[in-house]
Amino acid sequence: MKLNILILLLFFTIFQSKADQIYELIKIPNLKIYQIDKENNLRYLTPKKDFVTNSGINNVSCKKSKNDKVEEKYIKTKNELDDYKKTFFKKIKLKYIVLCEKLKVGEVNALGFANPKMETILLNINVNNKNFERVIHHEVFHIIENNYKKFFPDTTWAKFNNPSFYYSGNSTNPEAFSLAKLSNTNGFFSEYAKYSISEDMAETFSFINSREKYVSEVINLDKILNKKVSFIKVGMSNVKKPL
Amino acid sequence: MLTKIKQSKSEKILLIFLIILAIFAFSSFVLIKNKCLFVEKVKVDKLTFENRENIVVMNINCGNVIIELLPEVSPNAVARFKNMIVNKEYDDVAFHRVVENFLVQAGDLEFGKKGNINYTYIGSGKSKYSLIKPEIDKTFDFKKGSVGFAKSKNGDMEDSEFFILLSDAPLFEGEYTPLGKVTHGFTALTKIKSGSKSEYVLRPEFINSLRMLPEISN
Repeated sequence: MKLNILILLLFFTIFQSKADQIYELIKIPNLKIYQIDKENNLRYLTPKKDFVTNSGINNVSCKKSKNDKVEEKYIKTKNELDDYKKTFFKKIKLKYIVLCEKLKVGEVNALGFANPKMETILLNINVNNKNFERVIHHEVFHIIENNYKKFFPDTTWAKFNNPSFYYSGNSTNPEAFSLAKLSNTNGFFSEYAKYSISEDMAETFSFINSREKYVSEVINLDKILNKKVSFIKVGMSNVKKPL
Repeated sequence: MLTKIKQSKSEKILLIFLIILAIFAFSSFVLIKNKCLFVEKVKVDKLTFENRENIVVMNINCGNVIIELLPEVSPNAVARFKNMIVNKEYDDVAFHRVVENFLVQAGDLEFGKKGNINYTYIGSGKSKYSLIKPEIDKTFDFKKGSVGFAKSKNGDMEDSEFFILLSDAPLFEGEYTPLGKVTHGFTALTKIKSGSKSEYVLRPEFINSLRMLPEISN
């Protein structure tokens, strides 16, 4: 009987009454609307206060930022996303972009985070401009991959790598998260691409969309990257096909 | 022989103070007890409507709330809502989720009925009707008083639960199916009991009745 009462009390305290329209939609508290891009059907949000929220198995936290900093990254983000077709984001189910500072996912500093279920990506505006545009496309890919997994099968991708290669998985080495372009690619655009198949695909997509010239050069020298780039391009053409 | 003793000045002041205190205490008790005291009562027979077939009268603790349905915006959802109203499905159903100054939500026909409330599962119940697809393509401004279908547990379909907004929510456009808007009796909605710390309400208030206007008039 006591247990029942405890469970009941727990139920009524878990669902804290903090909802506003944004919390109702994406389950992140303390956000406000920064801009609504009606053409692309995207809503840009930013914290009015620092927030911590639970997203699946991870705690995600991020901090409020100064307006001028948000504005700078908003313009940058909008410029990058304007390259996609107007209906693209509706199709891939991306609606909300949160611009905030000092993003952490599971207590680890993060440059970006995608939550496909909530149709949301979070972008850390502390990231320098050079990497920021790559982070945008990287997170966009995670949304695409989640909704169109059939066009990006892991089994096909894994065969592109050398048989002796294994993705690092749960690495704690900060270098493993580096987005820097590798001088010796050997099948990977960045160190972070060696983390998992999903990150490898997202990095490849990100380079295709932000370093076009470099990609066209490197695929002539690196056979593995050539296959990976073709794979992503074929997958994307399938995604873009009319339903 | 009895001699009349005159009240001193301080005794008179004390008496007046006690009388004022008694009046204040009594009136406060009455006012606090009756949260509906200042809610303007909506008398349906005194109102005139153009589209009577799309007018819904919801009776709750603090009086009537009039909702105008919008079949031109969401034809399937409105037809479904009307059907459930005609079948009296919403009578004695709880406002199980109340977010102060934001929204009230009701319509869990499985776990939210008076006398059969299940606090563990409330908000996740199903109706005996099939799920329907959201109608979210038409533009609709989700302002204070807007009524919409809530999404079912799996998030992509709708069943019987609906919400009424207590404040504007422009981001709801394209997310939820609009059903209509409150035209009269909005204040009564703001008096619905909310949980002090939770969105989900312990011992919630209920919809007394939900009727189409022609049913009441007949």
